[in-house]
Amino acid sequence: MSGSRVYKHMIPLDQQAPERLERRSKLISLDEAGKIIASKTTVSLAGSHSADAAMALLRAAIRAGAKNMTMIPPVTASIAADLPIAAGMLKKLYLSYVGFEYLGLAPAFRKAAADGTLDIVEADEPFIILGTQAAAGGRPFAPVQHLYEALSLKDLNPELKKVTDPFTGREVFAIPPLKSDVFIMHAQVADEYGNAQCWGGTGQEKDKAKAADLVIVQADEIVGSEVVTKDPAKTTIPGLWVDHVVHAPYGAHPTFSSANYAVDEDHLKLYLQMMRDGAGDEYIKTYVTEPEDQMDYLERVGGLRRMTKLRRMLTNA
Amino acid sequence: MAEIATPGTDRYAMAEFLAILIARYCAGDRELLGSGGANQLVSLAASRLAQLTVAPNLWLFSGGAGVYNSKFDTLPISTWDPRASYGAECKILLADVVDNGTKGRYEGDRIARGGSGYGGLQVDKYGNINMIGIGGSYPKLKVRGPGTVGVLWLGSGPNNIYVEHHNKRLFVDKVDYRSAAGWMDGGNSRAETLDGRDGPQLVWTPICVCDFTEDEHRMRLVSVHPGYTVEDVVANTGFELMIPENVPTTTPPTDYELAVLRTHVDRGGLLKKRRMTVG
Repeated sequence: MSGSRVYKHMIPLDQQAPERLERRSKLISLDEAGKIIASKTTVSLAGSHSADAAMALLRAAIRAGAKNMTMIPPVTASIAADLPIAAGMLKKLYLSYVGFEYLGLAPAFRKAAADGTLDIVEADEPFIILGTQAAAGGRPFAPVQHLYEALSLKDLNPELKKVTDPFTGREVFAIPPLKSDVFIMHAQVADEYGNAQCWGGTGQEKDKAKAADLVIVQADEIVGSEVVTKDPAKTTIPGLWVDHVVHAPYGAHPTFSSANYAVDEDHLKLYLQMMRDGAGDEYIKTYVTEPEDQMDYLERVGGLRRMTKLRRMLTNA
Repeated sequence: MAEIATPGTDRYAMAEFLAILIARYCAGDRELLGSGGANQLVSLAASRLAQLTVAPNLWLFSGGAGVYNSKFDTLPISTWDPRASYGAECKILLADVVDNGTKGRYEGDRIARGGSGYGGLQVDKYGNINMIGIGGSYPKLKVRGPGTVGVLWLGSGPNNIYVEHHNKRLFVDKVDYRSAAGWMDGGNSRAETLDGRDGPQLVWTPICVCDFTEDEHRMRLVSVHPGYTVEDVVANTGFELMIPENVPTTTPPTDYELAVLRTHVDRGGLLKKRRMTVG
């Protein structure tokens, strides 16, 4: 509530001209971003399955010592949820689907569930999407029809409440607003003012951004304003909503970066193998905590040769 | 009959002056949201001018087109005019506008509204706005207003008021209907109803600038534009305005401000044709 007083009184006219009339860049380093994420409690993500996950930011957060966090994941997630669980970053997870589809179940998630080290909220797609929408608009809750009456979720998920529909008098369900402290998003390109283009995406990006107190975007490429202004409709998140931008080339690796490079299935298999063989700590050491920066990480997963191959796999060339 | 509002000299039009004045209030390097609804030509010009002169981090939102940071140099006739999208950086959905408006900056308090201003058929001493109608008994109003539009969210955070006419029919003691919340009934009434969220901050009119007192939140005169006096303001305001001991004259436009406005914002000279009245 202090914001208003900032502009109630005018800066004296003779002091108004800025030294340099320059827009402030929102670029920060991956390490800085990691520390910011690690200082928060609730983190939300976009992407889906093994696509467009903000992996560089997640690894940076783990490196920065992120612990005991709550994750509002995309409605389907593989390594973007499993790796943070393996690294002890999460205390609580809103669950819709965590798994590797045809590659198998998520090992760290299963283990944490079995050990009781993770507080799992038995949610689903509507819970996450509608709850996010409610938070995005500052709405008190999101109403859903009585459909949950037919499911176990009503007994297993204490955050799902019943409420009377004021129009029909019928009992319906209320999903709480799922607000986050920080939303981290992978974009294919962004400018340094935060305007970010997602070339794929699932439409949840805008809502997750609106529902967050802080938004950090990682982009495969940082582009000039001329790219963004060419077609403003392609900008997924306006820079106004974004607090920080991080340049993370191949930052979605090992997940798919829409219309940019393919999923590194070999690496996902390596991850699954190491987790199942009890070599999870070694994986985290080699690919998360030891790499000095994103370039070092990329060297460890196959370097330019591998990245170029993943790029070409999109065109079957 | 109302007089056309004229500044003290014939060097500039009143609408040009108001755009320049509003731009000055945006000065600084912080991030600000400057927005214009349908026909808010002056706020639109003010925000663009501010970006080009004193507020590089202001985000200009053209409401009718749904775009941020258009780079027009000829003022569009309204924000839905396709020219209001020229050089824009992002297009958002109306649902986003509603979400941002209703959520407000209450939590986080990240972005302050800068060059945008809201007006209405009536504005009262606490900055409440009426777009519903005047007189008669609802729904048989003497003057049926155009509707409340998207002003629910003036309850979600601070804003400014901007009007193109200054007379006793517009500035009334109490609005007949409240379509946008100002400081409500003054004192703590707004804070109690809206969880402490701040209300309107500044009022820009063709003859003066006002703000609101700190405790009672009554409208208070800040400065009077060249060519007008405190008495002119009092005579054309339908409630008792708080008048401080010293009321300066608003600084007229500088040559620099006018030059940038006319060559980089309003090359078509639309502001010169804008009719503003007093009385």
